[in-house]
Amino acid sequence: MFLRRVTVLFYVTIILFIGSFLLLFALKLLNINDLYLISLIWYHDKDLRLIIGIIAGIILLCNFLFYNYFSVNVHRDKIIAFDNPSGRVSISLVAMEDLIRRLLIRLNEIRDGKVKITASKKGLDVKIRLVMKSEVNIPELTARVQDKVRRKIQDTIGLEESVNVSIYVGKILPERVKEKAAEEEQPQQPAPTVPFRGYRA
Amino acid sequence: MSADTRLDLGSVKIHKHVLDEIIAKTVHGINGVRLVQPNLSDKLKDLISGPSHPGIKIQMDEQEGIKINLAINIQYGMKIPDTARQIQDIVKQDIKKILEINVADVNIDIRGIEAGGGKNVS
Repeated sequence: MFLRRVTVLFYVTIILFIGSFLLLFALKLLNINDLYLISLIWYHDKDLRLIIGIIAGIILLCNFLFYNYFSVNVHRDKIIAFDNPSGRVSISLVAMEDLIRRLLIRLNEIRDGKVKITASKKGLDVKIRLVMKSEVNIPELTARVQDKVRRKIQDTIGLEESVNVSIYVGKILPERVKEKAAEEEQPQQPAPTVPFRGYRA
Repeated sequence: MSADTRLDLGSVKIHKHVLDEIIAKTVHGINGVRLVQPNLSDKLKDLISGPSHPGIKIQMDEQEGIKINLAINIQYGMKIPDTARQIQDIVKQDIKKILEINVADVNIDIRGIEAGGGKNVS
């Protein structure tokens, strides 16, 4: 919480400074000659340049640290956790999404799938967007996918919490694309070579 | 920071890096489990404070004892609760065996699932 406040203060100060400067500049309230003179003095004075360099370094370092801290926290927010006697086990939902996506791709009828998992008090909510191959019985396949996904999550995590799986069929690939893709996948057979060509008995 | 064991002849201090190494070796020894790969900030930290393992964080508290946080990737197809319990038990046992220190908690953070051949796809 403290770091969050420091970060907000840091960025508000910088934005306020830049905004005020630009506003004063736009309203012609800054004397351009003074600005030029000040920057000339800073530019030619070694000590002042060193101070500016140090300030720049601190700002860049703070920026990097804040980014790092908050990006890690964003990652931490997307977890599901359970307690063992020896400590807590937390699982990244990104990892679970990856696991489910790989399960889907293994099915012959599915070309591609995008998975998004959210955790709430009611349980896990899994949203899947599928790209299917044609000639597929959609109700049968979606029911199978829902069952497989639910079982996989419950087996992997070991939780008996409710898993709600919603499926959105985003695309059904036409037959032509399928045939073309199959043709592309088949490597061209090299022409059979005739050994001992020109050989006469 | 280091774990401190008092003996009659004096005190023995064990540096955090020693715990780090033991935990890393223990985790590497478990089939299908790997510590997370270092990112840019981990590499910068290594430059400043010497080499360390990115997925291992050790908290030492005199009242609560030692808490170990492990960030790992596990292989596709493994059952997470069983694997996590196995890691927790093995890490606790190894530290107890080598250093005779009791670990209060081993917290596991599973960050990714890896493909069968050990290739990370997350």
